[in-house]
Amino acid sequence: MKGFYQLQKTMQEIKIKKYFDKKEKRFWSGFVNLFMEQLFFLSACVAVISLFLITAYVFYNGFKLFQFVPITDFLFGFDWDPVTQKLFGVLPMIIASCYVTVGALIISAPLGIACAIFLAEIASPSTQQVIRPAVQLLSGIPSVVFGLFGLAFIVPLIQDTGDVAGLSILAAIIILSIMILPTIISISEDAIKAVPKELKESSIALGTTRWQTILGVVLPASSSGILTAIILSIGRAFGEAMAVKMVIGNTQTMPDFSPQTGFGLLSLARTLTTNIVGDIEYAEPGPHLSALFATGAILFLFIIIINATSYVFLRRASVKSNS
Amino acid sequence: MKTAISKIQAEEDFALGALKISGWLIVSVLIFIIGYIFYYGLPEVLSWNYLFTPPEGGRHDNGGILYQILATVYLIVGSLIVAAPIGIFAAIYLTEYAPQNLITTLIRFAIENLAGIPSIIYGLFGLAFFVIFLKFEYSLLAGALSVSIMVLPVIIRTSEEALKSVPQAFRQSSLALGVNKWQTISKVVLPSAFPGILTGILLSIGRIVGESAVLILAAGGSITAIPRFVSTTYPYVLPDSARTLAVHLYYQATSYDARAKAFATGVVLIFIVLFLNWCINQISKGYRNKLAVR
Amino acid sequence: MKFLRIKNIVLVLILALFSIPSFAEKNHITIAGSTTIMPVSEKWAKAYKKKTGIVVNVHGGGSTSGIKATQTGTADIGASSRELNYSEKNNLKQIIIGKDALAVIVNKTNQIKDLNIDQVRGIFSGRIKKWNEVGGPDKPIQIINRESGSGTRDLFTEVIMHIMLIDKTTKVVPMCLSSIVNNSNAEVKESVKLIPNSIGYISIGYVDNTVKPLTINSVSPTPKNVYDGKYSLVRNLYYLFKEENDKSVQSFLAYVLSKEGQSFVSNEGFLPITENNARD
Repeated sequence: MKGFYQLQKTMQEIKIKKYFDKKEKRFWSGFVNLFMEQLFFLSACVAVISLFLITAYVFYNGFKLFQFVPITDFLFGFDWDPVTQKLFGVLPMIIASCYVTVGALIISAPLGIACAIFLAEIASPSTQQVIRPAVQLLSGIPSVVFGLFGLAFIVPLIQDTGDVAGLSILAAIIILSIMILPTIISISEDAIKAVPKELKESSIALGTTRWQTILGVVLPASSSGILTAIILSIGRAFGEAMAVKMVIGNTQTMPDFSPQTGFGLLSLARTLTTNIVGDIEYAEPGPHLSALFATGAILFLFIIIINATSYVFLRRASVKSNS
Repeated sequence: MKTAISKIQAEEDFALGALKISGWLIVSVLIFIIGYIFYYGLPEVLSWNYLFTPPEGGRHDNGGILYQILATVYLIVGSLIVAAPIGIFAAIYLTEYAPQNLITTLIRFAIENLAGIPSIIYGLFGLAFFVIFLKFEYSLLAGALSVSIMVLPVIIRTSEEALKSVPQAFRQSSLALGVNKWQTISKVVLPSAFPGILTGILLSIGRIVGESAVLILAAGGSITAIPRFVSTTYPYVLPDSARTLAVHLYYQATSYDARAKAFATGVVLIFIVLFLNWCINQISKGYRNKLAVR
Repeated sequence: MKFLRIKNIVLVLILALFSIPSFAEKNHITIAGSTTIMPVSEKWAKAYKKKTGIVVNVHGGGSTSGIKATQTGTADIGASSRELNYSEKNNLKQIIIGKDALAVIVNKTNQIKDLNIDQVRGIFSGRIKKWNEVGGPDKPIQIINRESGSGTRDLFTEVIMHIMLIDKTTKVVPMCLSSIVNNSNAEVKESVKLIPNSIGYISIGYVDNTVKPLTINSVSPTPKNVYDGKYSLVRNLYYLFKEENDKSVQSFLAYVLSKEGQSFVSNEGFLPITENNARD
């Protein structure tokens, strides 16, 4: 009895043989095989179809605006008052989006790369086990939670510096820099770890210190990866909507760039993303809603341009380093 | 000579010290933020009522967040039902079948670009296509479908990596036994790649839970009724406008006079992220052990 | 084999759980529009559901979007905190569900107590930029405004932002664009609470002791002054609907106008339709 059961078990473990023996099943399995192959292909095409649809819908609905408003008024107008005064200028928002993105990068790029170097080259395994999960956790926190933190802690802090509202470009910069740090750290860390050991060892053999090795060998070797990290985080910062909406104020005109506001740092503003989030709840179909889609289209274009230039740039850099 | 060496040594110490500080600075930022939110939010959560009573609206956000929790769960299930099969199948295509031709390049190009699109654009698309064009109205369905496209690149990428890490020997020996490709994939390759694929799904759950912009635009924000998963009217699945936890947090922080409750919702969200991260780490530990045994 | 069966049973149970709410489903009514009226609508929705089991969904979006939604049929009832204009009156019927007044509020740290309409207009148009121009300290004024489709903003514009010209025609003074734009009364209140030198306007239903309401021309925004006609920033709150034949909508509206329904109005800080229903 026991032997019979053992034999059955072995048969079941080699499941593949079950199908091999039945000719009828072989026909159906052949049919399923072909069917699944097509299904896999179609699934992969979903990505292409989605990208096409998204681009089409956003740009199509955006272009509807230009039946009502000339594109120059849109791109270069200083004021946004679509319902009362029929003003559709997004220039202040483009400037504000760039301002917060660049500001966040200035803080996070050095900090993030330094942390990545620390994790990859210097930290002990036990330290790594503390810092790496912390970075992972930071990347998983929802943006509204960061927004809440900004509203509850950062904004009052900024208010204490003077007669300012606290809601400001600076608040957005601080929150955004915390949000893009994990991206920079993890991708840079991967790039730094990918530097071949031989390069570092030969540098040490020549008598350089660790820091000199990092500066002279590791960083240049991983520069394309680090640049990728920065480009990705630019995209993230530029496209962030909720956290920025909660701390930047959402005004309708050009931010105040006078010295009193620290050349714009302490001024309220509106970015391309917060424009969409702020107005979408009440925008009516017509010029206003189309203007919001047009804002989205501009956002989309910026991201495409950033990604494309980085692609070209990295291609050229890798060609140079290979030759 | 001595001063030159001590100068280099000083530079070395300073640089390494700065790097060390930057590493620990980031940990302290994380601890501060989480600590801040837990400090103000944990008392409210620990009263447990908050999690299990329905919301009552009003100016002070009376009631709890039961409907929002349900809406979040429904959203995750709804979008994964769509995104997981499509994403895994697409990854299978890319690793097992795809030839080096134009279409494959186009597919990879599309996936890369989808990953880089800001979430608010997905919201606009969801509004234009699902809410308005397909007439789903503001609904969890529109939200779930928009969100599923958003997490598709994540699932495809991680699944692809997981599939690639399955040794070729598995496939070859199975095919040598006369098993056709689909059987090989379903019985041999997929089970081996399962931990990696599961990681991808957990990562996308993390993204879905944290998403708010897309949902405000496509799912609206009603809190007066328990959301339904199926119904007898078009569009038959997830037809109700509902608020998820992240969306509710946004309103709590900006409109309701209930800061403590906003922090409490934040605590719930952070707990979910902690749990997901823990699951991912458990999977990769188990995976490593499996490989180590071999 | 046995293992598979258990898994299937669990899956079926989960699906059933997800479906339960839909089995309990009956008709539901959608209200969309004014964010001012939202809290009262939500309270009515909850009480009505308890009473009859019918679900009422409440959406915001502002008075204008609510009116549009009712016209297109997207919503069964539109909530509006402003009068319908001529083109909107088309085929909509309206009932008054309560009265409301707007209070001009400032941050609690502000020492100003009273402003006249000229000063308020000057502030919101951007002509008056600092508090010391109206008797306060030398600090810049931060304006909190509502979005363009807001019924609350419309009332404020109508009462405050109109000036009469020499030839007896009126002109609307545009609002300053460097103001912060918020999308609901609650948001405005939170902003005024947050920012020390700010000023905004909200429905009196939202005023509490975390912000400071001002008197306008020395008249304070109390229910008595509203019913007496002394306070000028006053309006009716409306529910709009298309047909009188929709029974479920009609019975909900009847509940809203009943004594029990009107008690929710004063609970949420608004003013019931008549002084008799008002509690002080």
